[in-house]
Amino acid sequence: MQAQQFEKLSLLVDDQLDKPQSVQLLKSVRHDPALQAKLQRYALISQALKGEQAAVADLDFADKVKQQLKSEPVYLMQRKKSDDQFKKTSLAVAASLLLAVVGFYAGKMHNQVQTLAQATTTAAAEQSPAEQMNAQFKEYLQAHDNVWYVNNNAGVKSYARLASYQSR
Amino acid sequence: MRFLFVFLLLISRAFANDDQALDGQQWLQKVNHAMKNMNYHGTVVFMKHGQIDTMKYRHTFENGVETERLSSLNSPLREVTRHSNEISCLYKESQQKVETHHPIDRSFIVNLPLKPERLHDQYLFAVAGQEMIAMRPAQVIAILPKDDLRYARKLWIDTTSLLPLKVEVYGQDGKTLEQVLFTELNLEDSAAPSDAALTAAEAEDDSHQHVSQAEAFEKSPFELKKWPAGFEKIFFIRNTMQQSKKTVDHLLISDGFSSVSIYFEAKGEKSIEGLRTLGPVNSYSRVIDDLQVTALGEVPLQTVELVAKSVSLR
Repeated sequence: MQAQQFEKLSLLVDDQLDKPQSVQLLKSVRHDPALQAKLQRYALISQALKGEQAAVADLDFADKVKQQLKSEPVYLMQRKKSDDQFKKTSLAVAASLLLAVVGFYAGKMHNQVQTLAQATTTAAAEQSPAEQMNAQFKEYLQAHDNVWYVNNNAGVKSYARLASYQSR
Repeated sequence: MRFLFVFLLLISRAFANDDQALDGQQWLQKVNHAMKNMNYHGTVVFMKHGQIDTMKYRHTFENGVETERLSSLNSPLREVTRHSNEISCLYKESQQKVETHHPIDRSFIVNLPLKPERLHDQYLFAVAGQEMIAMRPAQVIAILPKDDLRYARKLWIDTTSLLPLKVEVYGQDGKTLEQVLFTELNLEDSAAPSDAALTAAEAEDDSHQHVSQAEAFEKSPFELKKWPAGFEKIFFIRNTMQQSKKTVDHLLISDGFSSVSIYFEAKGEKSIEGLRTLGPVNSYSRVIDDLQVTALGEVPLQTVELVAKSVSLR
C-alpha cells in the first residue's frame, strides 16, 4: 500500500498523475509525515535530475507562513474620503485652470496676431523697396549679361557662365 | 633601321612638344581661337547655386559670324540662340520668344581675353597637368589672380580640338562658384581655320568690340577715377530698361575674364545703397546727389565697392 503511495508520489512529481488521483494523494500527504518527507525527497531528486536549482522548503514552511500571517498586526486607519468627492474637486480645479490657460493664451494670441499684423504691415511697407531693389538688380543683371536676360523667366538663376568680353 | 628610329623619335618629339611647349597664355590664345572658329556640338552641364541645367549645345562659325544654340533638356524647355551679339530665347512651353542684343559678343560657355599676356601683372596662368573630361584628354590651365579683386578659374582644354571642356570659377574661400562642363563633345566636319582665317576672325571680333565708346564716357558727366588694374572701358551706352523703362547709362569695364557694369540713373523716391550678392555676382549701390550709382559684376565684393566708390561727378 505504501509502495503504491510512493509510486504515485513519483508520478505526481513527474506530473504524470491525473487530477483526481493527485488531489487524493495530496490529501493523504497532508496527514502523513512519511509521505511528506518522501514527496520532499522526490521533488529534490527531480529538480536535481532536471538540472534545476534546488529550492526545497522545510516541511513546516506552509505552517510558518500561516503563523506569520496570523501574527501580522492590524492597523486601524481612518477611512479615505469618497473618490467621487475627490474627482469632483479635481475636475473643478482642472476646469478653472483650463479656463485660466485658455484666457491667457487667447490674450497672448490676440497680441501675437496684432504683432504679426503689424509686422506684416511693416514688411509690406518695407517690401516695396526690397522688390524695387530686386527688380532693379534683375534689370541690371540682364543688361550686364544677356545670359541672365534670356533666363529670367526661370528666376535669376544662371544656366551659363560668367559674363566677360573679348579683350583686345 | 637606325635612321628610321631617329626619324620616328624626331617626329614624335615634334608632335609632343607641340603641346608641351605651350605656356598658359598660349593655351588660352589657342582655345580662344578654336572655340570661336570651329563647328562643334555636344551636351553641356551648367552648375550654379546647387542648381544644374543640362543643355544641348551647338556652335557654328560661318562667314565670320558665330552662332551658338542652347536647347534645354529639362523644364522650362527653351532654346537660346546667339547669332553674333543678337540673342533670342524661345520658351517652348509658352511659345514666348524674347529677343535682345548686347553691344559685344558673349559666349555661353566662357569668354577669354584675346591677349592674356596683357594681364601678366594681374593673373598667373599655370599649366596644371592633364585630366580626362568627357572621355577626352584635357589640359588643365589654372588662372590665378594676383590680387583679391577677381576670382580664380580653372580651364580644361581638349588637347585634340583645343576646345574648352570644363570651366570652374572659385570664390575667395576656394569654393566653386560656378561650373560649366561638357559631358559630350563632337567636332563637326569643318576645315580647321587657317592663320589667315583666324586673323580675319580676330578682326571681326574686334569690329564687334569697337562699340566701345570710351570717348562718350569721357564726355559724360560721370567720372571713374579708379578701377582695378587690367580692366578696360569696353562700352558706354544709354539703355532703356526692359521693365521699368528707366533710362540708365551703362559703362562696362572688363579685364577679359571678369566684367563690371556701372549703372547711372536718376535717384528714385527710395534710393538703394549697399552691397548685394547673388552667387559670383556682387553689386554695390550708392547715391551721389540725385544720382543712383550701382557697380555690378562677377567679381568679389571689394571690387564692386571699389569701383562704385570711385565714381564721381565732373
